[in-house]
Amino acid sequence: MKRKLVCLFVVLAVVLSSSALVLAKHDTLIVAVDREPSSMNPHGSNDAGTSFVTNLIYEGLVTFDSDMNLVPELATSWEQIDDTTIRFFLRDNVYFHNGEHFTAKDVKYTFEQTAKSAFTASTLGMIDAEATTVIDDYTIDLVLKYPFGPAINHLAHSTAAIVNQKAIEEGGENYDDNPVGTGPFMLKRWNSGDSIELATFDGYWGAKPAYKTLVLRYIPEATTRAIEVETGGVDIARAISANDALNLADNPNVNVISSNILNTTYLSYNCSKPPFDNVKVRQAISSAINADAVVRNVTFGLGERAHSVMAPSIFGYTAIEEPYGYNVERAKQLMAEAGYADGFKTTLVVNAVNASTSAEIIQNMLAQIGIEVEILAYDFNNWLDTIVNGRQDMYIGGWTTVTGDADYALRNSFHTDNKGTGGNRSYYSNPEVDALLEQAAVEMNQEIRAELYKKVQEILAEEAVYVNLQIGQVHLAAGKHVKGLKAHPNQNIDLWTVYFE
Amino acid sequence: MFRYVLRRILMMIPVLLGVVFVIFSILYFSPGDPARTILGVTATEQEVEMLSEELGLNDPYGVQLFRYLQNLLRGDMGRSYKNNKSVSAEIMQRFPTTLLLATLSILFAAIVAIIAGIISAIRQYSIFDNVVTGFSLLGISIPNFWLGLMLIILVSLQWRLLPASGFYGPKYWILPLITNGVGYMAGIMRITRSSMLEVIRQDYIRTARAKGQREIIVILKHALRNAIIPIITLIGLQFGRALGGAVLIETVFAIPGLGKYLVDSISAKDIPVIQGGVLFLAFLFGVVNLGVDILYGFFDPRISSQYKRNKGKAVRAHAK
Repeated sequence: MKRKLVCLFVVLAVVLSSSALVLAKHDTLIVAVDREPSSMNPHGSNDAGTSFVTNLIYEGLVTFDSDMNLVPELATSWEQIDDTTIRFFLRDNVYFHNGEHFTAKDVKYTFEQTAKSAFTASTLGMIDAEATTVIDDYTIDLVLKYPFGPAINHLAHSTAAIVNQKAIEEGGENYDDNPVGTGPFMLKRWNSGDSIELATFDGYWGAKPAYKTLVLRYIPEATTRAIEVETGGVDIARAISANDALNLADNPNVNVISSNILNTTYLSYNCSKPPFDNVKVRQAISSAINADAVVRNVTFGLGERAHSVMAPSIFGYTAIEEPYGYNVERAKQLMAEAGYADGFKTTLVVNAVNASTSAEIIQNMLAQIGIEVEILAYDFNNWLDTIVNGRQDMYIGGWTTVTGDADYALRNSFHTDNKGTGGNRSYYSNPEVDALLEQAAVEMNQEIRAELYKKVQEILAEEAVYVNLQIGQVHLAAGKHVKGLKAHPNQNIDLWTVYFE
Repeated sequence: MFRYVLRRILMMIPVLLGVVFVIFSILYFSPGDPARTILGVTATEQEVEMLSEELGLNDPYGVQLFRYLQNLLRGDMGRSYKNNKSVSAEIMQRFPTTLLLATLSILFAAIVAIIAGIISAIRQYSIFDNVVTGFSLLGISIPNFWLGLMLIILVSLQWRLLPASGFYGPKYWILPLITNGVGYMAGIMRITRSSMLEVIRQDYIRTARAKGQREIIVILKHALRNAIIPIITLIGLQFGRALGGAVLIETVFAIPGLGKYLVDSISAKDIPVIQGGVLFLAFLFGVVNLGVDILYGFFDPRISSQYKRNKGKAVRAHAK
């Protein structure tokens, strides 16, 4: 019996020592994150948890600054040679974490890899990797399969990060344990389900971080993340709830930084199904919903209402003067004109985790004009399956325009070709909108593109395809000693600019 | 004894195969496309098609099931659809944490609850008994994620005594094991109390007292030893459940255990992880049940003597 007890204690001791994190302050920045990455390969996943980490380890040819302006990263400059060729001039002083020198060959290899990945087909599918030509070590002609106006925006997306051929081939199935990029941080250890330890890369070409070690701790519960900032257990917490952001605003030891992100939430319909194929019904619903009140309620007063079908920091955004703002009398009149003076019964499909509250408020508002709504609160899986296959009447959806360009927001969501599976979950079809979107996609003049997208947004507002609700927000909390922290619309954080005071 | 254990383990194989078949079929025929769920809202048809092909999701039901079974027999539980990590490696990495949390919580719960249960039984209807009964009712009713958050706010935030999250060493264990233990405590306390009440009225207890035995010996040796079987049964069941991970506790305290891993896999429709996880849990549950049966013999000589006297027959009767 005694021996058994001794054995048990030895096992416990081993388990403990292997999982113990030794942390020294001020050499180490600890960040509480809400999601784990799915991969350490930037082409291995498109989720926000992955891009948050790959953004620290890798770099692309270009990137976005915190105002969503395009800025050079591994490229120093670029020029459009013809409609389908862009010449990039590259930095000559960049090394990968494995010591390999970065050259144009890595760029070509990267796009050969992305051509094979399921996670990059919608963002980088326009690149013709075979035709892309290495001119010399620091010059490359990137060739596109077709003219594409927002090409540079797509290259700034985290899935376009440059990888090293030798590292990928040597890593094989275990690449996630030893990812190699050119970024300011190198992976030390990924303790699955718990934390990711990174070290600053001594050979980094840019300004090096002010600390040696970066620890990302995966803390799934938002309130726990917020409390850890208050107790000093972590320096920064990502994605705290609106409720906690409000509470922490009064805490003198904590800074809360909020930013709008590239996402909006909206109420929409299956526009191919009666009664929602009737534009008057959609206009009536738009008029019956006090969207400001919905947004105020679900964001605890912190959120902003969207005034278009996409978020303001996206290229091509225009705030639209709403033709069908809140006006219950007009809503009733429109219902009568549509032939539904007595209203009708319908269903509203929502993702239970994030839209149940909005759905209940909307349900009440629509009861005023005789529309009886049954809420179907599904899990993410079922909700997505329902709207992709057009089984919904009404639904609450969201869209994140990861490329920061209107093409990704509008063509996916409103072009006839993309109905259902492609991204047009409202089953909306309008030849005029299709033509404008096609024209804008291949147009190289950005001013003309912006004008075309403005027109599309006006048509969508007049046709009342969406009732625009809130613009997505991210709230960061950080201890007062943390400086140089910025929230980014694409939800990444440039942690290498952070320092302590 | 050895043959008995081996036999019980072998008997688990058909059960596990049945589990694989049922889980796989439920997942296959339930709505939702794993590739689309992984790729998210903005995925295009082309992307979904590419990923489905890569993961082998386009193959018919029979082919997928056969492939899974084939790999399983080779000891390969497959790789997660979502992060491409080996399912068995991930389970093995997380299991020690879950085992530690489960063991500590059950130990804590059992020690406190058995002592309280005994005192409640021997001082039936006293103030102590009423307080303990009230407390156990509270313990069953309090949602443990709420209790966890309240403890974090009080102990970590207000008093700054213990860390709020993580599982890196003894001081990190205390809040999770209390939170987790409270839920288990109530049940053990109640069963200890009722089981003891039944035993202390027996003639042999009166005999023990009559021969002048010290009260403490009477309670612990004569009464508890006879009352312990239902208590062990319950603790065994609870331990089996605890080994599946405590998803809410793991979420609140950021503990990298099995529970959250498995529950996340269900919402992501990550079939290899769900399969592997359920299979592992079914196996563990079998092992824990076996352990409980062996413990019966340890605590109750009447049962262990049966093994010795007529091995074959008793074993068969027991296995049923």
